[in-house]
Amino acid sequence: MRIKILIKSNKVPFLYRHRVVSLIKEALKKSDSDYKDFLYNNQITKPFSFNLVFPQKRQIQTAKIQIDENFEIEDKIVISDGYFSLFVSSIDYRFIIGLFNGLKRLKTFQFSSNTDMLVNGEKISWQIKNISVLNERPIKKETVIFKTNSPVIVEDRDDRPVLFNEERFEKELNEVMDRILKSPHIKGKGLEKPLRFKPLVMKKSIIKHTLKSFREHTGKPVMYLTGNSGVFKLSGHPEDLKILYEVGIGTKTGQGFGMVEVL
Amino acid sequence: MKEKIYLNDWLYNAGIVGFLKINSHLWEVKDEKIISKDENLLKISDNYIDFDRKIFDGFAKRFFDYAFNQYGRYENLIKLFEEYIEDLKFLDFEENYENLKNKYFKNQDTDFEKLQKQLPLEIFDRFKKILQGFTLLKKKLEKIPSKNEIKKDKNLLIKLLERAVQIMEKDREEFWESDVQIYLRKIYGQKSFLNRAVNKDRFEKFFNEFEKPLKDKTTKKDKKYLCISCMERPAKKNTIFDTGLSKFYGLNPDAINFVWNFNSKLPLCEICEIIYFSYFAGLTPLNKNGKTVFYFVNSDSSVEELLRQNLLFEKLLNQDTSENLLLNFFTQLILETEHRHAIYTLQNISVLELDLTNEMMPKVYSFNLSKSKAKFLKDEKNKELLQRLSRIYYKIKDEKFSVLPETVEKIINNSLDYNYLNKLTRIYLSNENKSKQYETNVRTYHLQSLNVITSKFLSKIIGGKDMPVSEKELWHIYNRGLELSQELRKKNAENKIQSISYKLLNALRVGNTNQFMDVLVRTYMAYGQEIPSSFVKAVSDKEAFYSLGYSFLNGLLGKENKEGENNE
Repeated sequence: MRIKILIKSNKVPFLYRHRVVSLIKEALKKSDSDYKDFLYNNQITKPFSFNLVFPQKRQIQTAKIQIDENFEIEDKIVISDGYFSLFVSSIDYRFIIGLFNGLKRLKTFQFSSNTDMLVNGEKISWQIKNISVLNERPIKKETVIFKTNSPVIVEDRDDRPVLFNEERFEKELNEVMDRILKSPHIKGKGLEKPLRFKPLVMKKSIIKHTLKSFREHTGKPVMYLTGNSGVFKLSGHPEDLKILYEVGIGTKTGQGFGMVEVL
Repeated sequence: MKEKIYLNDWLYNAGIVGFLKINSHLWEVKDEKIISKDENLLKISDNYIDFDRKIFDGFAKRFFDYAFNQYGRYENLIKLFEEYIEDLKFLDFEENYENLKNKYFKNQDTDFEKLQKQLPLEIFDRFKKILQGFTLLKKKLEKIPSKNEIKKDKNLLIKLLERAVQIMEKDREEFWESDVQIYLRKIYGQKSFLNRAVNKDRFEKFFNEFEKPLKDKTTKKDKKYLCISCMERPAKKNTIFDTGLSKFYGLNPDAINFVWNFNSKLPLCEICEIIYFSYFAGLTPLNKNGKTVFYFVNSDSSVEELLRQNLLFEKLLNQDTSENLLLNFFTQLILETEHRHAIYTLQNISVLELDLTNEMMPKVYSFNLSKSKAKFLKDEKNKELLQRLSRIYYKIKDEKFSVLPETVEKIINNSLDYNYLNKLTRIYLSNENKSKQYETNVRTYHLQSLNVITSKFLSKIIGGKDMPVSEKELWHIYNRGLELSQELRKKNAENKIQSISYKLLNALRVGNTNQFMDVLVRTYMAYGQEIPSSFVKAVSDKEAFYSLGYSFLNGLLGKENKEGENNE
């Protein structure tokens, strides 16, 4: 199931993903804290993915962003007087119910705190305006054309990114997805048949991302992730393709990567 | 010297019940207990009765009276003839037209004048038909006017009927003997006074052959053999334990190749014989599709239970002669019984149906409840839920079905599942849509009660574990469904309820959790309401899904304000 959350805010930094994760955590904590603990106290694949869509009428500026007490960087932000749409897709109704109920109770989300994520020294808050359900495209065939809503990240065993034009991409993608599907809360068993990947209009994209643990470990403010965006053809068992459509493709889906749309 | 009679095979048990009923002046029912009025004469113990031979004083008369009343023909016919006379006299007055027309010519087109001509002939036909099966009366009436004579003067018919009543009243004794013979011959064949060759002094014959020797203990004994039934008393001399006792029980003397040495004489004592001979009184007759069938409830836990269950069956029969009689009986037995042994006795009760017009073996309905199931049905809370369903019916075209017996039947057969609930919900929806095919008086809290029972049954009896969702939680979800339906009504979206309900019902029918949750989440989101957190369980547990899903659907379809507020 996929839902659209309408958020009112006048500015949103490009470096937003870790705050959306916080929003989700906070919402779940309010409505179903057992489930939140289940998802975040364990190293498990999250059964969802998301992406944020900026309004059409927008300006992009550069601003000073104070990530936390230790780091301040210059990065891009989006300015608008309209609404941002957060799209969330999940295979787990418990997640959807928890998120929806939590957001209903939360109403306003503090994007910035006193020390974190200040934009030009200013605090940003998000107002949850509306939540609606989107229609999913039925997947019944063995081949689907997907478009990435947020970049797909595929990494090998040594955590090195693998790009769509590399020969080993298909093999690595299969390994990643097989592992994810095997999680009991996703499907409980691996791929029915191997995935075949064919890039149609693809490009490499570099995304800035930050996580508290990363900053503490490396002493760096942001990490650069290499992902794949665009349009591609994917073949496999329809049941698997449907799950991929719902939980996202590749790794780090729970941090806002790998969300796809059926074309 | 007291005679002891132990519970035995079902026919013998029917004999005990019959024997007790024939001697009903010796006991009474007090606070649902059966109490002997004089224990020296008759004592009812756990698995036997004992009695003094003095009990046989006046037995023949009681035996005949019982059979005469059970047959009931004599009283019924006198009543009917008197009614005919009255109706013929009423025929002179036009104000009775409507009544009489409806009584005799319901679907025919007839005016008052026509009726005046038709009715005497109709009654005459009916009367003649009765006489065909009533030789004694026919013989005594001697001359009967012709149809033509009746046509000319209906008073001839009135006189004829009056004469019939007079004769019957004057010769009551004779009719009494004759009717008992006719009736019991049907049941026992041609033993003793029932023999075709005997056509007078039947009572005396029975008195001399049974009452007197039993009372005086003058029956001749077989020197060698003990009774094959009680294995205690010496057998009566020259007794054949044959089909003269019952058409389907015992031994046919012609079929001697079945027995050792071709000797068809099986020893039976006088006491067991009279017990077997009393079994007709232990049966409960019921008119089923124009013919009489007999029922007997057999259980062998105690004499008191045996008698009590048959009395309950008889009582129930007088209230309701629907096709669900047997299930009603078992349901009632389960729901009404307060007896501490009920749990155990329910396990070995069977109902026998005897059709005596042919010589087929009796049908046995056995419900053979397991201990856990009997406990389940007896549980206070479950009983209450089931009782709510007691007056609920549904109709498909013109056929009517009662929900409670169906539910109990399904519990007994281990076939109660959500399909039944799904079907009833569909019928409920059709009824709401003014369907011509379906009709029901079921309400949503009935559906919800059935849901709770189904859920409990499936988890406890079939699954052998506790319910995944508590009963309280199910009613909570039901109320949340109600709230949402009120919200929809408030927002003038009442018409959405039906389409949403059908979608949910379909998802529940095929067990599609995703489809169900999809509709549910969409509906809640569309109306900005928080989704009940209990549904989280539904997602992960298939059993919880059904019970929660139906709870919600029932609530959504509901119109009451709160659970049970509209409980009758």
